[in-house]
Amino acid sequence: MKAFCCYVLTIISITLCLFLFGCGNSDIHPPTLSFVSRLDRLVVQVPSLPPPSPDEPGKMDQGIARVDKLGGRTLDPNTLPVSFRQALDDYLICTFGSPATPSIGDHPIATRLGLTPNGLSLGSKLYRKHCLQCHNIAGDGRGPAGQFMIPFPRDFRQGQFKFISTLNGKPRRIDLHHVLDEGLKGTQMPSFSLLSEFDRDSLARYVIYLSIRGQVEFDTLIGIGTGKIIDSTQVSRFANDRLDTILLEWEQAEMNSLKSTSLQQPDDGLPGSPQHNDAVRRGHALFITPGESSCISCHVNYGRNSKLRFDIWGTVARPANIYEPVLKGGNRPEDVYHRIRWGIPPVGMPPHPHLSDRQIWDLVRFVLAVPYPSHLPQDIRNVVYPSP
Amino acid sequence: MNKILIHFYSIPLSLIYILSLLAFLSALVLLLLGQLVTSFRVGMADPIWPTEPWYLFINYRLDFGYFIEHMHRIIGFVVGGLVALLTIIIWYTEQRSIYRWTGFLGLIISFYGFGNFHRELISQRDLTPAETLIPFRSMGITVVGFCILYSITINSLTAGCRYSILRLIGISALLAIMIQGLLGGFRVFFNELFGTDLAIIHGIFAHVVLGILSFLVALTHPMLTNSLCTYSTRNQCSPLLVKVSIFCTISLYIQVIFGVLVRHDPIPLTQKLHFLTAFLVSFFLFWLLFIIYSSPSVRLFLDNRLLVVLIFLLICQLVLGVEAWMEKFGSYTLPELVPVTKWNATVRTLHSLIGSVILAKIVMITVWLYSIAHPFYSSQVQVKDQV
Repeated sequence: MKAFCCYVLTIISITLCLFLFGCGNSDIHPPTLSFVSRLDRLVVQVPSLPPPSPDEPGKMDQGIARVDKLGGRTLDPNTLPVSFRQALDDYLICTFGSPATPSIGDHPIATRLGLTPNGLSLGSKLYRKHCLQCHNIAGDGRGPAGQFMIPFPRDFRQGQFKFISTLNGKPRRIDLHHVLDEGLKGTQMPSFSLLSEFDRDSLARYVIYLSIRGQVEFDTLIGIGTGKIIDSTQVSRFANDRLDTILLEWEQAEMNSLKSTSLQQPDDGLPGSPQHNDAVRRGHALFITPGESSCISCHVNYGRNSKLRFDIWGTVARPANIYEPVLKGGNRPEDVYHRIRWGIPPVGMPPHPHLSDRQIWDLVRFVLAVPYPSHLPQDIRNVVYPSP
Repeated sequence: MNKILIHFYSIPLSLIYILSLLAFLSALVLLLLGQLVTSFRVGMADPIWPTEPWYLFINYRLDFGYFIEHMHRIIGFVVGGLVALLTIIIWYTEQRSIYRWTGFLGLIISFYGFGNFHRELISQRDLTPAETLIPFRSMGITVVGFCILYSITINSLTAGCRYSILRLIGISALLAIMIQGLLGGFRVFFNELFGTDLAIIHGIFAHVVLGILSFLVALTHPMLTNSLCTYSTRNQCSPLLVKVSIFCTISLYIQVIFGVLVRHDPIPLTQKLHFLTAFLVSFFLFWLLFIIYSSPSVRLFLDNRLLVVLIFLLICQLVLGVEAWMEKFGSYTLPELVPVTKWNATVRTLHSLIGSVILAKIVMITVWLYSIAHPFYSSQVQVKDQV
């Protein structure tokens, strides 16, 4: 009986070993997998009316669908002529490849930006491992894990990012690095600081690739929908022109980072020191100065009573409540500086190029002091934290 | 005086049984929530770890993923607390005074080290994981505490002291639940480096914890501790039955391991292994149930209804397994891109949960059968109040 059991177990073990073939590598995309044509609504114009309620988890598309009813405009790609869609799909496959073999053709700007096929291929593997579940395969923010999150994972396909340090709306690669390094506090975007810098750079480049591909698709679909492209044969030329323009924008953003001087933070001393208190007072004065693009006009009651608004993706955003110690874009003084200086264009926070560096640092001191009453001078504290 | 002292230091096994059962049931709930976390892919819903227990109540968000993930953490705290209490009570059964109090010191050292480990990590919460220093000193303190506990327990085992096996399982349960908590936390903390790997180990180790708690429940079950455990019954519990039961437990555990791998790393190999082991498990399980059914004396301990329920669960498990496979791999896309729906999440979660319940039940049956067949084991926990 024992011998029989041994024989049976041996046979089973050998049979199991035979099935060790086909281990597979779960990081590489299958070569037959391709990007799917965009089927979700494109937000052409953001409504002027505020949204009635915040977004609900798992209802991104339902939230976007109400944009039309509130005075905005969306475009349903399913209503566009099939021949135009097919021409666009062919162009995208030809130019941008597939998740397994991503590329941006032989474009010289793409090469200068470091968006080479080898680099993108590595980025694609890392993206599948770390990002796909939330941001989805094309970077549309509709991954299976992302549907239960609020705020929704970022949709890269309009080529717009919130936390930038440029004026043309495109982030520098270092801005993407920063998000990967720190994560976004108060959201489910984690930090990836434990990855090597090389891996984070590869991820950043792949995100740029997805953004470029997505924006070419987005702009071309808008062109088809608004009648700018009359014939299906014009689709690839239009898309190519858009690609040239978009790549130039990304390159300009990178060039700006090379030209700009490093951020010099003034020494205002520790919170509570006279110098720091003066900076906070000046910052507070700027914050409450009335005007069209003034801080207080959106961050009503220092953000406690801010109104909901639509962002460019058709989802709902709210100006930050600066009583909260956690700011999504980061709590470092330089992070807050960049938000004020360059704005957050996708959600309607304007840039402030007219403010001097000193003025912006004053605002930074004020914003970072508000969550901590002891960091505010008494006169400002009485205003920001009025006694009941 | 001696009678009073003996009475004071004797802990009724029924109390330990009730606490063990409570811990076991809470662990099942915790397992269910953990399986929901995996099914809905919300393991990273809150990237902050560790946190204080009250953080989970203060930081409340209205999204489903956050809710499930935080409930999982909250019940984790509950299970940890119950197991800690259980261990303290079990340790009280050590009748040698010096060893008992030294053991309590070991417990205090372990709790202190473990708590301090978390406190030091919480104090660095504003830093990125790359900047965080792991508090190895606190970890060392916890290890010292457990070394004390294990030395005393091994000593009492070799000396043949009463309830020593219970104390061994008790502190093993405490150690296991601490490790499991750390694995879950590190899964979040080291997400980008080892996230999936740690999620797999966390899922596998959860069943080790469940197995230990099942062991404890079986060990303290009134059925085992009452006087029905007679000489004549021991003779009629064949060694083959015990062996088959052990094989069944091992094969079930291997099946659970492959199941966890399929959930987290659905490559062709893990799918094949999970399928193949399903045949093995079904064979061993039917064989075991058949032998139990054919042994009237063993059936005195194991109710017919239990056998029927097990068969029913096994059939459900097979059907749910097929359904879960179809849901995950039947779509024309990557498995990780299959949208999560209530239906497919329910199917996958139920499949996982029923597998865990079957494993727990088989562990208990194995413990009972082993204790019937081997007098040495039975003598450790035979009589309730022998003074």
